[in-house]
Amino acid sequence: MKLRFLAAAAVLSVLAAAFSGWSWWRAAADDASARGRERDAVLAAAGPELVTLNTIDYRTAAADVDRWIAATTGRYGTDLAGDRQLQIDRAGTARTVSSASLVQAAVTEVDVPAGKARLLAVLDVRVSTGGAAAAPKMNRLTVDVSRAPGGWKIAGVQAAGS
Amino acid sequence: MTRVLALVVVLALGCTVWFGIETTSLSAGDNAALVDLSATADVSSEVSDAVKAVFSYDYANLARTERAASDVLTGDAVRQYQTQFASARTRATSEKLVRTTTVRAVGVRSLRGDEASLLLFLDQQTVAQGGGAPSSTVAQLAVTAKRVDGRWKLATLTAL
Repeated sequence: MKLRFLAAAAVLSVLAAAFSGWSWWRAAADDASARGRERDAVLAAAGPELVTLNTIDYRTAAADVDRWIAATTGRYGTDLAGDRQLQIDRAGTARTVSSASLVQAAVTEVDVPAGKARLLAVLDVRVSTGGAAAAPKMNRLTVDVSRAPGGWKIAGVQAAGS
Repeated sequence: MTRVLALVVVLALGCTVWFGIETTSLSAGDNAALVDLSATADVSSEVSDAVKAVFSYDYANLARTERAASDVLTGDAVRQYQTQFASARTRATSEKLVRTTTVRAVGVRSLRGDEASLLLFLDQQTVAQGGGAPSSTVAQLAVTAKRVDGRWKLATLTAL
């Protein structure tokens, strides 16, 4: 009696495991839900990275520019790395202090196999030079991101005609 | 035999729980933006058209804009828009203004059933018929949209 009960339980639990394994496999292979996951991952990564790219204090310029470089990838990252000293010098000369916050963003395209995505972002950037009061400015941007070893990174930023 | 079967039950249930957790972590949630590509394209184009229609006007035919507004606005947006348009209307008439709004970019932030929220970049060009240089302005608009009788309508409009 006990043995029959156990045998039935074993069959049922193996079936349950098979079904949940199949659900897992199907969820992992589904392109549409992959786009949804990457959409959220892109937003979560790109928001803070865009803020980083608009943040600099001439007193900590070297570390700030290194954070810019760490937030970017591809040609954009290479260019920033090449201009590293120039950016630091420029911030020092103008005594630039810039801070930013993300107002809103929306992903417009995700290509999961290619590891590329594009988003719109509105950033509130406050730049002060030479010790003057910070002037707030709304920046509207179209942003390209690419999947890099450390996650989604900024591959290009364009001001959308502001 | 009993031991083997008990072991099978324990292992299989363990796997079920593990696979279930993995499946849940893969779920994209209930936001269909970019998940359902055709629904995302539909809401983008209908909301873009609606925004273009309500933010464009011609001093000589303000009724057309008002008709468009009553057609594509719903809920809070109706009142929000009326207060804004009342002042624009007075200026448009006295200065003979023609304003053309184009949507430079649109992104769907969330799409859940009959509700969506979008971000739009607008370019606006205003021409004064009485002379004077045309002026160009840009705007960023956060929109929530509701689907009413199969058509997307603007429910709230927030300039960013």
